[in-house]
Amino acid sequence: MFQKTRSFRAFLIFFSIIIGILVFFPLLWMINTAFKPATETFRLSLFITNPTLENFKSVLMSPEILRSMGNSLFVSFFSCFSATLVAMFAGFSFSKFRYAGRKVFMSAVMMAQAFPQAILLLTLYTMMQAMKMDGSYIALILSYIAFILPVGTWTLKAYFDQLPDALIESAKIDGAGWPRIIFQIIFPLAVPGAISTAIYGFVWSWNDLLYSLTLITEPARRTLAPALVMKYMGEFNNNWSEMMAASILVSIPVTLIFIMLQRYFIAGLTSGAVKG
Amino acid sequence: MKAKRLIAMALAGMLAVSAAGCNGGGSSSAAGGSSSGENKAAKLVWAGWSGEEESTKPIVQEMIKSYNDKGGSQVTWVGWPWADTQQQLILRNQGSDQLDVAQVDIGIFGALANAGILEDMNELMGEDYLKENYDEAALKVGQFEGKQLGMPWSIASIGLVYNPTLLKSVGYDKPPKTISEFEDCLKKLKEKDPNIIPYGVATKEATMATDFQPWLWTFGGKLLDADGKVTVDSENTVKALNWYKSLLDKDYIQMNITRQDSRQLFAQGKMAFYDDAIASRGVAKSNGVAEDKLDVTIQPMERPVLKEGDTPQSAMWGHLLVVFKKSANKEQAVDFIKSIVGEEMSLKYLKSNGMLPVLKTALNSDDVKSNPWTNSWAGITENGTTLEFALKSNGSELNNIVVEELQGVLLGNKTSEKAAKDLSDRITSALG
Repeated sequence: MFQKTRSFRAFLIFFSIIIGILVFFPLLWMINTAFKPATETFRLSLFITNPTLENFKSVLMSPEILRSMGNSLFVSFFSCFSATLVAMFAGFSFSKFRYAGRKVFMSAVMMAQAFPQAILLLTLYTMMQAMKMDGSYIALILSYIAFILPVGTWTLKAYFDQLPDALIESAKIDGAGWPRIIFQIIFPLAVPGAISTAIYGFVWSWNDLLYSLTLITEPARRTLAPALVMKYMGEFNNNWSEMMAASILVSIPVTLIFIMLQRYFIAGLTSGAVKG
Repeated sequence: MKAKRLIAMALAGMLAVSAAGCNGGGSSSAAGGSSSGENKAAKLVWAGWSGEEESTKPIVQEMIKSYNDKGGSQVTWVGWPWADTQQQLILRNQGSDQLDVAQVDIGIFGALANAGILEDMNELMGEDYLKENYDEAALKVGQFEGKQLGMPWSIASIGLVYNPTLLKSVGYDKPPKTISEFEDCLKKLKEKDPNIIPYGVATKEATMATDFQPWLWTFGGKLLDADGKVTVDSENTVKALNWYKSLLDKDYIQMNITRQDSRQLFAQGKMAFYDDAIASRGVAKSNGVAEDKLDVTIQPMERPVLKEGDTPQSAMWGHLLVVFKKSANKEQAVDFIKSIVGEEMSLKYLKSNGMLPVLKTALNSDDVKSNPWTNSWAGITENGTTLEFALKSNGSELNNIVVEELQGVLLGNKTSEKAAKDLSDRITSALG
């Protein structure tokens, strides 16, 4: 058995501090830059001599950023909800049913994760154009579902694998039909897995730049990532202080979601990790 | 638990507001145009990035409004970030989205020209008309295999800019003319204030290759000869690389500097020289330099030469306007382009953003001639040379090779001789 000696504890603390610095220092610098005036952006100092809220004020008073934040919330929620719903059915199907082609479908879903999104951009863009959906949120949501589904399906399959078949058998004996079994017995038990998939899907959609830039060109419908890039990163100039302030503000929704649902997220990620 | 309820309510509120404010569905494909072959009014799509950026949005909107108000063809704008332009143009050209006119950076013009998707302006506007009315050096920038595939919109050189106040403080009333004077100036600047970066040459990203080439030419080196043969493995290249390394060793330049970084540091008075184009005065102003301090903070200069009598080198830079082969409104597109590069609009563009016109009459106008800033740049641009990989379809790959080898030398990973040889081998292989 591994013994936690004093020197081991000291090493663990030291190592944790190093990891903490590496992980949190960029965040600290981001916050530091957000409170600096533009003239001090490149001043390498942790202590801000002239802190200012002007950057935050400027972002909050920017109608383009606020509108794009609303657009992103809308798209991200619908993407993560839709993807989670489809992934639940797909995961349940792979886990509890046996049918011809099941393994082929499972392999295809697994291999889909291997494709970088940039490679699929041309294909999806052409498809959306052919279906006259380019420029619409539907095109963006469908694209996001396509990328969230593989990971979501596998996460939920692992979750459903843990549920004993006896649950389903008992329900059948009691006269329950499949809709009742699925919606009243099985899916409620898979809530942690579903939430972890939903969080993954939300963060994925929230952070996307490439697809939102390509599929949405109308300024009023633009989502957050392209709006931030177009407003703060130009050909001649980058407004780092306002960009950092905007980055902090737009990460608030995702942070709130993590705080609320963190135990479900961790439970969902570790489902199936240890066979009990 | 109460906190979690509050957070849940906040999230629900955000979702409700976003759902109320958003609408989905509908295609954003621009309306189609009229049939080609007749100069009837059409709906045109003009794509690019300047209509999105804070500093150039107003003038681009004015150009579009001014044209639309004449009646006739109507122009709509489609925009994306500058860095994504090439990718978006190639994507949209392959799709069914309407795409008539696009703003193109000189750095990506070669890739689009090689793709065979651009219309020849000589056919649309007439070669004689172009030569008669537009600056020859500017026209050359948009030429590819004998065709005028890009109409110059604003062309100038990337040269050196300097801070007159800092130079004066070390005894230089005028900018240095030769490399030895330049090094002496850098040395004095560093001795006076060790916290200053004397020269903010780009030492990362593609701009590193852009900044390096004029220095390579200054030392007599070339990446390719006139026939396209790789000639970079030469004594002059080794001299240029050694010189770059010596600047770093003496702390006159720094690693991990981009042009964007230099613009900000220069405006803060922490840098004395860096490479930029005519728009740099406007950039300094937007980075906090007061209007009345601009003349003593930033001035253009000719690049120092190896020995007196040599021609100062500079790299051509600018924006072009292109018409796509797939456009159904080519004649209308040309009419719009003529309006943008015409005297009225180009002088307004000069006034608002400092971008040099290309029309001969505009270049000879008082607005250009009487302005010391634009007049200096016009002079620097006369000796401008197109970057050596500008017209290659794999220009990005080739520039990355230059960046990697140059960084190898600066970081001490290889000698200049080895880097020159590796440059030659890698560029030869990449050119196929």
